[in-house]
Amino acid sequence: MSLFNTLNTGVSGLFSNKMAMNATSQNIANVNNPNYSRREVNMSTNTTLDLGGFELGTGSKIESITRVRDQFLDIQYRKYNSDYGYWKTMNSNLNYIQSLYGEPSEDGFRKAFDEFWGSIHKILSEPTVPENKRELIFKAQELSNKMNSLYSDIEGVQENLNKEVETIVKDINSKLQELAGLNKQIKELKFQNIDANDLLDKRDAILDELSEKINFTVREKNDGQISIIVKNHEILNGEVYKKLDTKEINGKEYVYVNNGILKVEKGSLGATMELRDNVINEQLKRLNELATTFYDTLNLIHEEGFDLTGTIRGMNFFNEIESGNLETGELRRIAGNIMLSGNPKNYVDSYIKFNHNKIDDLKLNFDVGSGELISVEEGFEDTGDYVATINSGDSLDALTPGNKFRGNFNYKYSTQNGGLLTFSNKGGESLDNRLIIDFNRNIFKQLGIPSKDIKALRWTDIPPTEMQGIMTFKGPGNYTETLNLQGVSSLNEIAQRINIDADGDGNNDGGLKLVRAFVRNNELYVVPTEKSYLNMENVIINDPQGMLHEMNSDSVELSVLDTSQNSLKNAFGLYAYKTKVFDLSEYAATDNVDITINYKDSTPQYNTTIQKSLLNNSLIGSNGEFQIVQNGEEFEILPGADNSTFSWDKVDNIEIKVGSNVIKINNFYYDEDSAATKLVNQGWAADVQNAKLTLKSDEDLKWRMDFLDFGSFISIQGKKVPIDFHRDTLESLADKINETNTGVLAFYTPGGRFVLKADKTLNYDLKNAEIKGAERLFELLGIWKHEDTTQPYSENFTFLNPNYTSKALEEKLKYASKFILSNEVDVAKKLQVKDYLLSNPDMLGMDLGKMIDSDNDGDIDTLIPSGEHSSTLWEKGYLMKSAKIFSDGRHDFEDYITDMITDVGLSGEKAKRMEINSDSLRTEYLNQRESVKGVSLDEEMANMIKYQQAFNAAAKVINVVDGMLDRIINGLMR
Amino acid sequence: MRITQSMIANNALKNIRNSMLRREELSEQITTGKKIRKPSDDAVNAGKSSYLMSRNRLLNGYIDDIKNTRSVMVYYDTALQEMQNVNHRIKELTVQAANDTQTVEDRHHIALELKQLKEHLYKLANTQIGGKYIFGGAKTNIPPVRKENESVVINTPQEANIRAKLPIEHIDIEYGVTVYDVFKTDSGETVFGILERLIDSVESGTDDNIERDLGSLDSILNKVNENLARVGSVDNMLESMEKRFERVIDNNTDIINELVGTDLTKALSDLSLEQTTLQAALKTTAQILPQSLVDFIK
Repeated sequence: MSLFNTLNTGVSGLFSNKMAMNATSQNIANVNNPNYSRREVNMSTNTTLDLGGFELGTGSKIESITRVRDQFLDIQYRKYNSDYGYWKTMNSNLNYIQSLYGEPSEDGFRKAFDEFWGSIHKILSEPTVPENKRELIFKAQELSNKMNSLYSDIEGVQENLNKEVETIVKDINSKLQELAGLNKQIKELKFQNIDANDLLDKRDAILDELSEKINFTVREKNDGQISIIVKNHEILNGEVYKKLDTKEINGKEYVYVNNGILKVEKGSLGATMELRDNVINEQLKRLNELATTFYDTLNLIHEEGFDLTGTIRGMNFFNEIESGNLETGELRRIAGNIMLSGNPKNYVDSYIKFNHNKIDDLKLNFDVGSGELISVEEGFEDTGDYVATINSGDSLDALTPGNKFRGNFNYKYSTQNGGLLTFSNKGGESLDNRLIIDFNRNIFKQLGIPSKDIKALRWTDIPPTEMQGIMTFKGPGNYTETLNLQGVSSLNEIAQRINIDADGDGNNDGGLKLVRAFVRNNELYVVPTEKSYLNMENVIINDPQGMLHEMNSDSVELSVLDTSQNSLKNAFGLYAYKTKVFDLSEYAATDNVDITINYKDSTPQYNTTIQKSLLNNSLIGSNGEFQIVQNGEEFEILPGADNSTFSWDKVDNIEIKVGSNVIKINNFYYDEDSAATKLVNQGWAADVQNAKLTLKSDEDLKWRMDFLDFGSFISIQGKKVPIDFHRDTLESLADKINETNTGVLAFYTPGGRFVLKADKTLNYDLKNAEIKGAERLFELLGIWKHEDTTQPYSENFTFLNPNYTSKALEEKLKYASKFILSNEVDVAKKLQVKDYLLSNPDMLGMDLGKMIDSDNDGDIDTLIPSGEHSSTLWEKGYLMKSAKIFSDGRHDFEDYITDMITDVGLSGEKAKRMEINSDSLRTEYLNQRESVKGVSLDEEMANMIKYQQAFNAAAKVINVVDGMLDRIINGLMR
Repeated sequence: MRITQSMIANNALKNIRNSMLRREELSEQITTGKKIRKPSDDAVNAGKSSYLMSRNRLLNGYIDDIKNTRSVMVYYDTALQEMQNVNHRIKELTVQAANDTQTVEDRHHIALELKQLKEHLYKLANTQIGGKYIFGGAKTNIPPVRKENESVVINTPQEANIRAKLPIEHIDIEYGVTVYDVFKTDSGETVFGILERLIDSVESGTDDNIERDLGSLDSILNKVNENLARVGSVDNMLESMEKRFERVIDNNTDIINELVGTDLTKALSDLSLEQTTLQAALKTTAQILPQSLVDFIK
C-alpha cells in the first residue's frame, strides 16, 4: 500500500466533486429553461486493489451524467397536448362562425326571415296596397342577400382552414427534418459513448411542439434514435423522414404519405381538417338546405299565382338556379302536374263507427223522432213526395226502398271497412252541387254525418190579391229573373211558381234559376241554388209591391249536408259508374236533338240526330256503345250498352244541340251498389252480383272498386303505408308518408299539386329512395302516367329505386316536375329575387284563381283569375311557414332555424369546455413532468454545499497525505 | 413529490390567468348587460331566446295590423251611427205621414225630406276613405251603390261580397262591413227598394201601405244595429287581442331577459369575489416565488 495511492484517491474525490459541481451549476443555469431536464451525477468507486486480502479503495469516479426524465409522462403530456391543440383550434373557429350568425339578437339573420313572413302577413290584410307587394319582394331580396353573405363568410372560414392545412404540414415537415438531424447526431455521440443529454432535450422539445399539431407514437431504438409513427405510417425512422405531402382533391388539401391518404384525427391539423370537412360543411349544408327549400318552395308557390293583371302565371320568384342532371345531381324534389281539388264530392262519411255486421241490424237505437231529409231538386212542387221521413227504430236503408227522392242519394253501410256509414251519391250530380236539408236538425247529427248551416228565406202568408204582382230576383253576374205571384192563393202555389212556372202562365218554364222553394208545416222556404253559389246572401229581391212584408219574409237557418270533408275517394273520384245527363224540359217533343260524341284519338266520332220523343232507349255508336234513358224531362247517357266498356276514358267530349242551342251536360255518379242495380234495370246483367262482376271486368272501373274495397298502399324504403280511401284525406296521406321517417316528405302546393321532397335521411336525394305502390295511385297523384293501355295497372309498381340507372329514372320521372340540384351549386350563395319583381312589384303572383274542375274528374283543369283583390296564393303560401318540411318532417322554418342556432351553439359550447378540460389535463401532466425533470434551486443549493464540502474534504485529504508524505520524505531523511 | 420553482411559477400564472379570464367575462356581462352573447355561451337558452325574439317580432307585426284595422273600424262605426240617425228620422217621418190628419202638402214635404234622406243613405253607402269605398267588400274601387233611373241599386257584384278580414294566428277575423250587410234586409229586399216604395206610398197617400212598411223600416234599423254590434264586438275582440299580445310580448321579454340578460347583482358580487381571489393570488405568488434556499446561504 502506498500513500501515493491515497493521494490519488483524494485527487479522484476532487475531480468527481468538481464534475458534480459543474452539473449543479449547469442545472442552476438552466433553471428557467423549460426544455431542460435536470442532470444527475452518478458517482461510483474506482476499482479497488487487493492488498493481501484487504480491499484498498482508490477513490471515486463519475460514472455518468444523466437526464432525469420520465418517458411515460412525456407520452401522457403529448397525448393531451394533441387534444388541446385540437379543441383550441375548434373553439376559436366555432367562436367566429357563431358571431357570423349574430344570434340571439335583434339584428341577426333570423330577423330577415321574420320580416319576410311579416310582409306576407301585411299582404294578407291589405292585398291591394302596392307598397305591401313591394315590401314582400324587397324583404325576400334582403333575406337572400343575408343568406348569400352568411354563406360566403362561413365558406371563407373554410377556405382559410384549407390554406392552414398546408401551413401546418410545412411546419411538421421542418420539424421532422430537424428530428432526423438530431437522431443522426445522437447516434454518433452514443457511438463515441458520449452522453447526448442536450440533444435529447432538444429532441423532446420538438416532439412536444409537434404533438400540438398532430398525434403520434414514438419508438426509441437501441442506438438512441427514435421513430415516429402516425396511423401505421412511419414518418420518421432514425435519420430518414418521410415528407408529408398535400394533394388537392375537389379544392380541398389532403395530407398524403407514401401516396396514401393520412387521416389525422387530433392536434391542430386534425381539428383543421375536421372543421373544414365536417363541422363547417355541416353548417354550410344546413344553410344550403334552408336556402334550397326556401328557393324551391317559394318558386313552387309563386308559379301558381296570377299577377295583378290576371294574365301572367307560372313565373318564378327567384332566379333559376341551373338544374343539375339526374346522373350526378341531387333529386331534391318532384311534384305532380295535377292540381288535386278534392272534388267532386260523391261521398260523405259518418265520423261514427257502427259496429254491426248486417245493415238490417243497424237500427237507430237513439231517438230521431221524426227527422226529415229534403233534397231540393228541379221540379219540386208539393210537400209529400220529396221528403224522406226516418223514425226511431227504422233500419238505415229505410230510405232506399220506394225511391222517395228524385235526387238520388243513398246511405251505404260497409262492413268491409270497419263499420263505415257513407252518405253517398246514388246517381246524380256530385253532392257538393246539391242542397240536402236535414229539416229537423236531427238525422245528420245522430248519424255522425257532417252538416252546416245555410241561410234561407221563410214565407208564411199569402199576399193579398190587390198587392200581388211581380218580384225581381238579382243574382251574381248581373243575372236577373222575375217571379209573377198574381193569382196565387196558397203557399204550394207560390212554390210551384218558383219551381216550375215563374211567369204564372200555366206553362212549365223551369221556374226560377237562382232559388228553389219547398213547403213544410205551412211555411214556405226559399233556398239558393248553385246559380247563386248556394248562398242566399247573393240574391237581391226587388219587390215594388211590398209583397215580402205581407208574406212575413224572414231569414232562417237550415241545416244541410256539409261536403267539405275531403276523403281520398272523393279526391280521386272513386265512383263505380258515371253517366251524363241533360235536361230538355224547355223543348218540345218534336224538336230534333243533335248528339255528337268525340273520341280522344279523334276517331271514331259519332253523330246522330233524333227527335226528342224518340230519344228514350235509343242507341248511339256503331256498336251501340251508348244508350239514352229518359227520366222525366231528363235524359241520361249510359255507357256500356254493348257490354264492353263502362268508362268514359276514351271519350273526349259530348255535344248536344237543339237547333243552335247548346244543351248543358252534367255528370251523374253511381256508387257500386247503385251502379249494379242500374245495370240490372237496363237488362245488362241478370242480377246485382253479376252486374258487379261485369263492372269489375272494365279495367277503368275495377281499380276504383278495388281501392274502395281493399284499400291500397304506398311503400317507402320498405315501410308500408296503408291507404284507406274512405278515411284518409289528401292531407292525411301526406302526413302518413311523413310519419314513416324515411326522409321522404310529402306536402301539397297551394294549388293542390302533390310534392315529394328528399330530406336528411335520404341525403337530400330522392334517388336514394325506394318508393313502391299501386301504379294507379301514382297516376292519381300526378307523378306518373300509365301509358300502355293494353296492359293492366300494376298492383306493385316500383316508382323509384336506388338501383335505377339515370336513364331508368329519367323514364320514371318524365311526367313529374323535378328539381335537381347540381352538387356544385350552393343555393344559399345564389339566392336572388327575380329582376322583374324588383322592378315591377305588380308582377308578384297574388291570386290562385278560381279553380274549376270542369269534367269533375278530381283535378283542376281550368283556372280563371279572380281579380286584383285576391291574395289566395299567399293565404295558402303563408301556411308553408308552419309546414314541417325540414329535418325529416320534424321541423318547420322556425324550428329549423332555432335548431341551427342551438346546434352551432352546442358544438361551440363543447369545444369551449373541451379546450379548458384538455388544457388543464395537459397542465397537470406538464406539472408532473416538471416535478420529475425540473430544477429545484433548493435541491441544487443543497447539492452545491454537499459537493463543496466534499471537494474541500478531498482537498484536505490531499493536504494531509501531502503532510504525511512530507513527514516520510523530509522527517525521516534527517 | 418534488416541487420546483418553475412549477410554482407556472401554477401561479395559470391561476392568475384563469381568474383574469373570469373577471373579463364578468365585466363583459356587466357592460353589455347580456350573459349570453353567442350561442355557445348556453346553446339551449340561446336557441330559446332566439325563438322568443322571433316570436316577439311576429306579435309586434300583429299589433301593428290590429292598430291599422281598428283605425279603419272607426270609420265603419261613424258611418253606421249616422245611418242609425237617418233611419230614426225616416221612421219619425213615416209615423207622421201615416197620420190621417196630414194634408197633401204636408205629405209632399215629408216625401221630399224622405228623398233627401234616401240621398243621404246613398252617400253613406258610397263612403270613401283614402279613395276606397269602405262598404265595397272585395271591390273597394267601385261604388257599392249606383243609381238606375230613379232607383238606387247595389253595384258591388255578389262575388265581391267578401268582408275584409285580418288574418291572425291562422284565424281570419272578419272586420269589414259590406253593402250587402247593411243595405240588404232579411226579407231579401234592399233598403233603397223599401224606401222607394215608402216614398211612393207617402206621395200617393195610401195609409195602409205606409203603415205596412213601418214594419219594414224596423228590419232596416235592425240590420244597422246588428252591424253596429258586430263592429263593436270585433273591435272589443281586437282590443283584447292587442292587449293579450302586448302581455305575451312583455312576458317573452321577461323570459328573454332572464335567459340572456345579466343578473347584475350576481354578476357584480361575483366580480368583487373574483377581484378578491385575484388579489390574494397575486399576493401569495409574490410572496412564494422569490423564496429559495439561495436566500439563506451565506
